[in-house]
Amino acid sequence: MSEVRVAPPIAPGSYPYAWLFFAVWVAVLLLQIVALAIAFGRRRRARAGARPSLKLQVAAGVALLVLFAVGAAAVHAARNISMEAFALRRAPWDAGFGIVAQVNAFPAVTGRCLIAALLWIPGLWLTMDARCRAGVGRRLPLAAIAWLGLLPAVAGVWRWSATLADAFRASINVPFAEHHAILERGAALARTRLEHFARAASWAIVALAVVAAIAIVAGYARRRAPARPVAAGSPRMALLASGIAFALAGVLFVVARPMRAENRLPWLPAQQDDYRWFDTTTPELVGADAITGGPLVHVWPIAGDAAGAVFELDGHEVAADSLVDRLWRTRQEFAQRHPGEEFDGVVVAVVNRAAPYRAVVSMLRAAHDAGYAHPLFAFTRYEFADRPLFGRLRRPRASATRATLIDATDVMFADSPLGGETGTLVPLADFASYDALAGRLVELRRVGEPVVLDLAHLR
Amino acid sequence: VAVVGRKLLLVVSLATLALAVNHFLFHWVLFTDAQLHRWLFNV
Repeated sequence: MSEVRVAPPIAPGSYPYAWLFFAVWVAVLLLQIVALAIAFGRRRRARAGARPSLKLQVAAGVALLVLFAVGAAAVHAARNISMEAFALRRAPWDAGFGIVAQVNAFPAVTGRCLIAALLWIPGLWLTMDARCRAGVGRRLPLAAIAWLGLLPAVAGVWRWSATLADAFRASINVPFAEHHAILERGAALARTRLEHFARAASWAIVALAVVAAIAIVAGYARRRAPARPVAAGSPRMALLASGIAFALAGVLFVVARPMRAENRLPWLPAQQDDYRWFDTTTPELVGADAITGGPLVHVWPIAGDAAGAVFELDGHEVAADSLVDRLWRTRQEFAQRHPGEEFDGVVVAVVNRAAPYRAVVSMLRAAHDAGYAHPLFAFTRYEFADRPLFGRLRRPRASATRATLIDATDVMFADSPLGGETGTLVPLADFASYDALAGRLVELRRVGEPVVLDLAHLR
Repeated sequence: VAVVGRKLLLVVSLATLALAVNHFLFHWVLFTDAQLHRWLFNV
């Protein structure tokens, strides 16, 4: 017996432009290592009076920004795959690929950018320190330590990605409904973890900024009468740097606003209805009962033939006069396949609202005579969601209303007008269209009333 | 005092920028989660 192997949906490290990002990272990494080595050498020479230049560190910083940009572009390319799939400019299933690619890209990009940044910072610090010792420029501002508070945020991205990757792996080879539930649970857990780390990062940034502020004030108090002039740098440069930092922060807050609006609005749970139940030509109603399954009977009208109808049983066309036999056979097959299991007598009826009423009654008669006394009348409606960035989304949802069929024989044997059942008696003879019948059934079931459909006295 | 004031202003501005980066990173990453829910909405 051959073993079926399913490749995991997540190929480690797979995302658009992964190789380009890797190549740029290696190049930037080498530059940072060289810059760091030179910074070490310059710091030693600075003691001998040399004045090191900042150009190499600035170039290394610019290279770091290029790395960030390439990484962000790789994530954006993956994101764009999903957006294009949502807009149906590419295959719908590509949306899933784009999401998995982002789950792959985020930890790789943030991790490699962090390594490069951690190599750049000591080089910059050593060079600025060397310049300060040589009497030019100033040391790396103590304020920069606030940026170390971002480390938990990066850790949060890794944790988020790992949690989602676990959910994707767990969703392999599981039924449709369970697949969605696993991914939703994984996403909720990943989000909680990401929020936790982001909050920790915010507090760490604030705490480190407070430490820096205290150190600055304490240092000022100690150096009230400095023995040697303190290299304070140009006041204009310090104000300009602060202004640029505030402006960049404002830009980031504004750019994040649309994503924030989307991220804050809760989603409706993933849909789990069986597509076989969908038919937007059923009466526009919302039934109070769930569709539990069972043989599926469709009733369609025939264009140009007001009295004619087409019947389908589980997707196969069936002649009107053989529907009862086919349903009986289905019941027998159920008994053979599920020995010892109780037969529930449920049949799912998906009936077009324009189907002739006589055909509907004929279908119900066949169901009753084959032992399917509990029809579930299925209805389809569209459900809408208005999203800030994705716009108005819609999806079909199926619901049903349940009834119990009886006829004159049941009434006679049970010696009761309800044929031994309980609930409200609804004679099929009281209606002239399926629309009217469906409306009445839904009305009764909405108030929790069991419905007994009487096949007797039909005209 | 002016020097200390400028240094403190730099602390506040750099911390604000770091907070903005954290905020942006959080929503940028979480937008993938929004895409996942968009995908599951009517996949």
